[in-house]
Amino acid sequence: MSAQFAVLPGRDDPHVGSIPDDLAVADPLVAHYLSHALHANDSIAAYNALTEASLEETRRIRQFLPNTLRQSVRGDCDALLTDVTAPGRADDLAQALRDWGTDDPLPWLALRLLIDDNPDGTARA
Amino acid sequence: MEEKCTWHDELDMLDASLAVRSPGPDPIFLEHARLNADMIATVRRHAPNEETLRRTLLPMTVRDLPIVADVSAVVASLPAPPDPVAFVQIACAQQWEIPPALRDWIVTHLAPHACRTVVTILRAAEQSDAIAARCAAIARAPAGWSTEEINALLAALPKNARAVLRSNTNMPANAPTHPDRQDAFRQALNALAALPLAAALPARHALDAPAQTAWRSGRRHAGEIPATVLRSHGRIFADIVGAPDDVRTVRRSAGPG
Repeated sequence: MSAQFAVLPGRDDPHVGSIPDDLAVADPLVAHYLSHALHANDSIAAYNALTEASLEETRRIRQFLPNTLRQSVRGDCDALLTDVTAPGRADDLAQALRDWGTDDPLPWLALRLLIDDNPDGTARA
Repeated sequence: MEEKCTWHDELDMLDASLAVRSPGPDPIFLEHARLNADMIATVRRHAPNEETLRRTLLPMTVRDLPIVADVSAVVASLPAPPDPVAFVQIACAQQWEIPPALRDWIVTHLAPHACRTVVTILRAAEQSDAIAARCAAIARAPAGWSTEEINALLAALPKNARAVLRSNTNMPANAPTHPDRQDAFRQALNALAALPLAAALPARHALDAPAQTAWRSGRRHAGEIPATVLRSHGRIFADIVGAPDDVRTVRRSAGPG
C-alpha cells in the first residue's frame, strides 16, 4: 500500500472512481473513509464516512455505498433496538422507525452512535 | 555533529545510575537514564538540597510523559529551570545532539516558554508517540510565538528533526511528474506554507506520516491523519494527495449513477 494510496486510495479503482472529485475538496476525511470503504468493501470505513459526514451530506454519501455495505453499516437491527431501548420497548421504537421510513439511514446511524464508546459520537447522535 | 555515536549511547538505561554515581548528574548521562529508585538515590547523593534534587529529576519525569498528556502544558507549569539547555537535553534529546543554533535559541528566549516549545517539537520529531498525538502537540507548539521566532526555531533544529517535521517547503521527492499536476501541486504547497503555523506544521508532518509507516495496517491508519489535519483545507489536500498523473483525466465530477 503506497503512502498516497493510504491517504486517498484506489483513485484508479472503478468503484472508488464513482466518488466525485469535489468530495475530497469539500471534506477530505469523509473522502478518505469513503474511498477505503469502496475499495476494500470495508464496513467500518463506510460507517466512519457516514458518521463523519455533515447531516446534509449523510444521505448523499450513503448513495455511493453498495447495498451490501449499507446493510453492514446498519448491522443487526433487532440487536441494535434491544441495546438502545428500555426493556420491553424495542417494538415501540421499531414501529416508530417504520413510520419514519426504513430506507433513511439517519435514525439508524443515530442509534448506533448512541451506544458508541466515543463521547463525540454519542453527542452527535 | 548532530548524530551521536558515543559510548554513552550504549549505556543501559537501567544501569545509568552507576555512571552518574561518580561524575554526578551530568545531562549527558541523565538523558539516557531511567528514572528509578537507584537513580533518585544517586542524584540525591550529589544534590546539595531537595530543591536541586527536584530540578534535576524534573526533566527526566517530563521525558517519560506521553506527548498526548500534553507535555507542553506540564513544562509550561514548571518553574524556570536554572539550565534550560540541560533541561531540554534531558527531557527529549535522546536521538540528537542539540546544535549550537538551538542552544542559542533556547537561551535567548524566556525559559519556561522556550523549554515548553522546544521539548514539544523535539518530542514530536522523535516519533515515539502516535502520529495523531504528535500532530496535536505540534499544532499547539507555536502558540505565543511570532512566525519569525518559530521559523528561527525550526531552522535551528537538528537536521533529522527538520526532516521528520518537514519544516522546509521544498518540492518533495514524491511530487507528481506531469507538468499540469506539478503546477497544482506546487501551488498547494505554497498555500500550505501560507497557512498559520498551527495548521501548516502538523499538516506537513501528517502528509509525510504514511510514507514513514512500515506496516500496512499502520500505514492505513496514518493515511487518516492528513485527511483529518487538512479537513478545513480541502483544496490543498486534494491537490497534494489527489489523483496520480495518469488517472487524473478520467476522474468524474458527477454523482452516482
